[in-house]
Formats: sequence, structure tokens, C-alpha cells
Amino acid sequence: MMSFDLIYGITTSIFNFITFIFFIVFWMKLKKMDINVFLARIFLKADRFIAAFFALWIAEISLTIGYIVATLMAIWNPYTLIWEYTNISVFFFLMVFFILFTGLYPRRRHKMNGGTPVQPQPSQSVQTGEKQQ
Amino acid sequence: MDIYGVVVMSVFAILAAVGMIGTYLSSQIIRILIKHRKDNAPLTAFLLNPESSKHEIKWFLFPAVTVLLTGVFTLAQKLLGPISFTNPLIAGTFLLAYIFGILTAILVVYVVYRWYKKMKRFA
Repeated sequence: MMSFDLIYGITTSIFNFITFIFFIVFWMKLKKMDINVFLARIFLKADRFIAAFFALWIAEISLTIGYIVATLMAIWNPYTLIWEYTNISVFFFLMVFFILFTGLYPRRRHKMNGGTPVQPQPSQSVQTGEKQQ
Repeated sequence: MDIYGVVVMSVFAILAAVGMIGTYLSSQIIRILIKHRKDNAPLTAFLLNPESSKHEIKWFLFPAVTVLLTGVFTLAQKLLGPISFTNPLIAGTFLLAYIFGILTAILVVYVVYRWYKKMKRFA
């Protein structure tokens, strides 16, 4: 049986690693593509943008409440571990914020290729109406 | 209460204060975005100023880096063993995890403040 300390360390580091990876991948794509593509996307998918900031709001709420409780508990017992539960919640919702903000997941139908038009593949049999040899 | 308790309590109090500011700012941003749900005016403002928007997005790079360092030092400290301030390696990783965690909280709130400043005129 692993101790809670170790579980806390592994969980938060996984959350933080995913956060970093999502932002770095997003940043490398942003340098290549047109910034207007990203801005038009957050304009068209405003719900995702609002949901991202809602996740950030939950993270901040849990940070506030968790650390107020931890401050009060530290008066009697400074070795309290309640801040570890707080940190797991905060880092999880921070990860959700970054994932929704960057918009890399869930994937969209069209790739971010800087506005380059995709060549349409003609479907032969439907257009010509006869079998292709 | 010993000196350790005082340090721990002040760190918790700083984080709680930072969290209160962040809660206020992010709730204001959500309120502004939902208020302009129909016309999306704040997002239109972002769309019309691509250079400054790119600058604002670039600010999220700093919390993304500090959050990674927090995770790395937290995992290192937990893998090295129980906390002891006589061992410089364990004490160093423990303190660095604390410092980067506080830095992450402050940086996220600062970036959210920058976004709030851009959206404030639509409130």
C-alpha cells in the first residue's frame, strides 16, 4: 500500500506534466499558424472559452477554500496534509483549463494549417455516374 | 507553535489570499463573457487586435513552465523520502517545490488580471 504522500506526488506531477505538454504543443503550433485562425476559433467556439475560464474559476475557488481551511488547521497542527488534497484539485482544474483553452482536445474536424485550402478529392463514381475501371 | 508552524501558516495564508484575488478576477471574466453571450464583444476585440492577443496568450507560457517545475520537484521530494531539513537535497527539493507552487499561483492570477484588464471595458 502506497502512502498518500507518494500518491499525491505522482498525481500532481502527472497533471502538471500534461498541462505543460498541452501548452508547449499549442505554442509551437501557434508560432507556425496564423494567429487569426486561433482567434477566430475562440470566437466561433465561445462556449469552450467560457468553459475554460469556468474551470479556472473552480481551481481558484478550491485554492481559496482549501488554503483557508489549511491555515485554520495549521494553528493546532502545522503538519496537516489537507493542502495536498487542495493541490490535487487545483492542479486538476488548472490542467482542464489549459486543455480547453488551447483547444487541442477534443480534436476538431479541420486541422489548424494556417488557412491553406485542402484539395477536395473528387469522388468519381458519384459524379460521373458510371463505374470506374 | 514553533517556527515551522509559523512559516507553514504564512505560506497557507498567502496562497488563500492569492486564491481570493483569482476567484474575483475569474468570476468577473465569466460574468463579462456570459453577459456578452449574444454578440461576443470581448472576443471580437481580441479578434481585431491579433498582435496584443498573441502577447496576452504568450504570458501563459510562464505559469506553464513553473507548473512543470512544481510537479518535477514535488515528485522528486516524494521519491527521495520523508522530509528532513538536515539533508540538503531533500530540503532543497521540498523548498523549491513550495517556491514554484507559490510562483505558479501568483503568475496565473497575474495573467488572469491582464485578461481581466482587457475585458474590463465590457463589464
